[in-house]
Amino acid sequence: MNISRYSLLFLLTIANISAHALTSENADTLVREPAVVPFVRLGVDVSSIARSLVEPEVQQFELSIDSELIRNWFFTLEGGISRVNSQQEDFTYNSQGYFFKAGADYNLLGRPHALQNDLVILGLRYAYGGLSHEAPEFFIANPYWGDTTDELAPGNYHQQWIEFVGGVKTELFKNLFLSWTLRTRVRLNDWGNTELEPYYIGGFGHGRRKAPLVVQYSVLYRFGL
Amino acid sequence: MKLYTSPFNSLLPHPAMLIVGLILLMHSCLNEEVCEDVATVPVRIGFYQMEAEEEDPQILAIDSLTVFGVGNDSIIYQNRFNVSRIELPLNSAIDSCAFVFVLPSHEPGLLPAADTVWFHYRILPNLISMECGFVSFYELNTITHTRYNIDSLSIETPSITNTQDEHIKIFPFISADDR
Repeated sequence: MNISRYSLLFLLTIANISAHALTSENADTLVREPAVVPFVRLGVDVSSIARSLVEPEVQQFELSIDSELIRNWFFTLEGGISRVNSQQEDFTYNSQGYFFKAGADYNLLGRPHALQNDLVILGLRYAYGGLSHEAPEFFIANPYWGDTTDELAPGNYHQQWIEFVGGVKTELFKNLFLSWTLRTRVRLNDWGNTELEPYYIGGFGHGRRKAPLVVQYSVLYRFGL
Repeated sequence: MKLYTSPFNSLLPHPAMLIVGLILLMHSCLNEEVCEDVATVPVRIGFYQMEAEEEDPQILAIDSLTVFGVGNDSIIYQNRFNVSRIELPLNSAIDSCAFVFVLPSHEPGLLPAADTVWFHYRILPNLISMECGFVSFYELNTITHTRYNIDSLSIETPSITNTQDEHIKIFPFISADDR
């Protein structure tokens, strides 16, 4: 259900852009795209803040950096840290993790105007995440055989995944961008302490989801070089 | 302040779209699971028979079925009729448990016989959500059984999680014609 909603949202946006781009093409005729201007763009994921309002036990901080090294190809590095601290009546769970992603985005819009820096992107990332987690105490209800209380010692967990990215970045003010991207993540493999599946893997999402689909919002600032 | 006004600024992302997206984000983060539905993760067992003209096993409805755990006084299924699928709770405190299956005899005139089925598994605690807490998932290793009325069984899905998969097929000696 969520997947179809997100897909519809994305398609509607693409349709809007395409329609507007067509009319713009008629109005302005450009014969040559401007040269690539060296820059780096630093971004902060702001959707993590909204997420922590819904589930305050889970916190994540993510930064991104990208640069247009080849015309319409934006090479991107993303990384961050995550933390889960939950002390409930019937369990305690803690985790600290980190993650990084490397990949590239392709700009579908091209560069119809020298001062036009808006992007419609499709991209791909390789991602790796590691974390340490523990459950010092947890309770499992079992009405037939009897309830149990147990603990799981601290252990490390690692995961690799591939991330498909689609979305937009628009320049609100000079050098200040706002972006939203629709992302789906496909787990490649995991290793380490798999006795307890992580509740939340930084940069990926809830551990038991096979291919989570998420919307990510970022605020970015571009620095000229 | 702004040097160039892009036509896309009015569209990407449109404030209304941003709000809709945020609502969707919030919605996707909200836990839709009902804790009662995920509190216990049972092993799901189906009864089947092989028929000569069919390649795949055929579902078998069992009459007079009684099932209870070894060492537990509480009966899970008592003299149930027309049963083709059952759900049994594994013991989350130890890595094995056994159940007694009382099935109608395949020999006419004989009383029902009791078979014992032993489950050996790995316990995998799983934090479902902050609201629902931990439940046990399981990874089935082996299953052994007596052969009074159970001819054979097979592990179809060794991973027991909160999906609706059928994990085990049991093939009793009885057939639909014997009922």
